[in-house]
Amino acid sequence: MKRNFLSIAAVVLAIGLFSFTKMEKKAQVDMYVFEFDGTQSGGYSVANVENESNTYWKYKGKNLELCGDQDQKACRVEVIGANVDNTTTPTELRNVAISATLSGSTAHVTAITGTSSQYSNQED
Amino acid sequence: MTNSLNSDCNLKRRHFLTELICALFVFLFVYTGVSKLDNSERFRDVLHSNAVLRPVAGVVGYVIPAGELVVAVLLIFPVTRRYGLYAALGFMSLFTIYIGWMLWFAEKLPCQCGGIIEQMTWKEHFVFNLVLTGLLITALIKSTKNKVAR
Repeated sequence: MKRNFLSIAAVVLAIGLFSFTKMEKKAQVDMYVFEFDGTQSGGYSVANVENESNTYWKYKGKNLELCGDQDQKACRVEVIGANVDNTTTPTELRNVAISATLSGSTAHVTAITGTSSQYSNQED
Repeated sequence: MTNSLNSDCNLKRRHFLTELICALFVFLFVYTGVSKLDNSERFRDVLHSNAVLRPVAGVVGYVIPAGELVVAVLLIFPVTRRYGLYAALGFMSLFTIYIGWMLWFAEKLPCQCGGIIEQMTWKEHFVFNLVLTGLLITALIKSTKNKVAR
């Protein structure tokens, strides 16, 4: 036990720090991330990108990373629980309006409504 | 007599340094392993964004954090410590190669390394990993010398 003191202290410290950072994160609001599916008919058209249905915007998970900052084609949006159909098993965006504009042959998101909502686009 | 005392002192110092480095890695692997398992959805999503790792993202997403915890356990007990050091060196080398490869070749740098470590930039993370790998090599050399001295 005495010989393992440092290692056991390290385990306790690691779990303590993990719990502390987890508690801090819990205080933050969960963000639900949806990703645009460009494989549907019409691809990255403005009409498709602006359509909030889950045919085009697929739920990916909670608190995931958004995409890069290249505004060429739609990638991901994140919204709070009030803007999803069901917070336990989300499948679809609710009460958000997505605006898109064409850049070349693909559309990218330019705005999204809803408290704390954010969007991100990607390289073509 | 003095020589024997000095050598005993050196041995103790070397042993303490090895223990300290092992404790550092126990801390690191427990913290990052638990953080990744707790947020495995996000971790697997980041792996999935990498074209090379995409086909194995589901499996790797569990194997890496589980492996980190196993290495931490190996490092805790003196009997298994050397195996733990080799396994940790393997892990750190893989992570360092991955980060280096992402830095030089990837168009997009996703961010997920577990807990507070993800606050680092990729370049900082690369240097951090190099330093840690150096520490592991030092610990392995010291533990070999300890074994010979005994």
